[in-house]
Amino acid sequence: MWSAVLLAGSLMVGGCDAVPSDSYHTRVKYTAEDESFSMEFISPPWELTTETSTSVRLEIAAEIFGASIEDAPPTHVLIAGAVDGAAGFDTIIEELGFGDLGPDIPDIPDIPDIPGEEETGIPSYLLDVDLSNHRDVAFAELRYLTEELGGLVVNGLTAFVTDAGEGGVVFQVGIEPGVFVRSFYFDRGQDAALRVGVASLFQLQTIDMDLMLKRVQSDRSMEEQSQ
Amino acid sequence: MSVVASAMSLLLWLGPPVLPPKQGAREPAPEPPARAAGAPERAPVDTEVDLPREFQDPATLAETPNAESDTAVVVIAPDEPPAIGLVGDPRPDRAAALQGATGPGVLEYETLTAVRTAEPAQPSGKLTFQRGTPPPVKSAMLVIGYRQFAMRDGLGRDQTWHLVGLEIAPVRRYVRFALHTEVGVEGGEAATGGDRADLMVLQKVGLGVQYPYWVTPFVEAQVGVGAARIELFERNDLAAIYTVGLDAGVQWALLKHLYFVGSVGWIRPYFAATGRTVYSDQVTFRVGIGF
Repeated sequence: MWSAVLLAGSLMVGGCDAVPSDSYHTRVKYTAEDESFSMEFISPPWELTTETSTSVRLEIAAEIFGASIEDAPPTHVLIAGAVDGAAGFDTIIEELGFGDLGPDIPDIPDIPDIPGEEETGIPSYLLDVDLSNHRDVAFAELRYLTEELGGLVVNGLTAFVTDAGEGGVVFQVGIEPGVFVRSFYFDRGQDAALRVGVASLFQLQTIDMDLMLKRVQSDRSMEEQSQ
Repeated sequence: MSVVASAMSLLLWLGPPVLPPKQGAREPAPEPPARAAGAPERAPVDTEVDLPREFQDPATLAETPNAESDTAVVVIAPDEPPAIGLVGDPRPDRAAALQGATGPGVLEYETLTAVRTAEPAQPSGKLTFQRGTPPPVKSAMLVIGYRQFAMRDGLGRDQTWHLVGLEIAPVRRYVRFALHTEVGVEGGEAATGGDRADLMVLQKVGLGVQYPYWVTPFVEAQVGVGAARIELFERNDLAAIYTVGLDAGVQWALLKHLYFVGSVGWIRPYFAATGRTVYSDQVTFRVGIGF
């Protein structure tokens, strides 16, 4: 009993640097350098790993009750940014350790070289797509995931509205043997559409994910809000 | 020698000293005249006895029709202890005494009249006073309680913690010292959606003051440690928790060993994990049953 009192006292002394919060989790707001979009994520579990002027990459490290698992790939990867600047799904899935899960996993097919790809950085399956139209981009990537990577549609293309009233579309695809890809697309007006793609070993059609993505804002809605 | 002899002679001549009677002392009763041997026992004689109404002369009754008739009569003979006779006394000697008898005509009886002054005893009614159970001198030793406080999760949803606790109070007179063990599960908007169910376990100690009575008010400060399993985005985190708080409430003694416990207070849970610590000030309430 007295040990509990002493422990509580020592923890309180050690917790003098504690910060007030409504939650155990801390909400972090990220805004791209070019102010093309902003989003909120909560940490833990999300951690920012890579940031460019036009995109951001978040991960959830593999842990069990707070203990990290050595050499294990992250359980969740999120890449957000304009479709002409962010990485494609082939890169995301490869980084999830997709190729190390077993012998039955199909290899990611090589994408043939297309003239001009190096200069633009746009994935080949988007070369003939109107990048400013978020629906066209979503449909092109859904077709790529299902036809090229052998994915199965878990949730078809549906509408999605953010808290700021910004309309978008979303789908979810399952790729054997248990990698889920869920991608959100938002219209930014004149420029390329905004894409927030998430790949995970877990089902992504969750309330947590929906609430997090409802706080995404493109530059267009940010401008409207500032006005 | 001749002087002493003279004094002695004088004392013998004077006799023993006669002291005045003390105030309030009882005069010795005069000795009754000795009855001569073989003399017949004297019978009561006719005297002025205040006879009961039944034995009075009809002519006298006609003069005083409303006179009381239940006067008690005491006839005392010098040779006998006082005897009280009432109207209708069936004993022949008493009746004879009342009616008068022939005999030597010497009035040797004195008559006392007793008047009833006391009210007749009323029949005993229902008892209106009963000694009750004394108030408790200690509060409940064991309390099974339910506590609730609310927070918000990382996504802004209402997160209500429902905790079931066991309280053991080894010191519970005017100073209370209690051990609280509480186990909680998350409720609220997030849990209702079936998205997750966080868990919490706490061990707390409380120190406070109280006034034990039928309704025992108390104030208690609490500190505790524990752990929480928190799930978000399908990942389980383990956070250390330590809490401080203050409870104020009452314990109501419903029966001798059955209490209702209610309190409200403030709780500040600290969550420590992944190198950072956050806290939140919340209002909490608790209800329970004590034994």
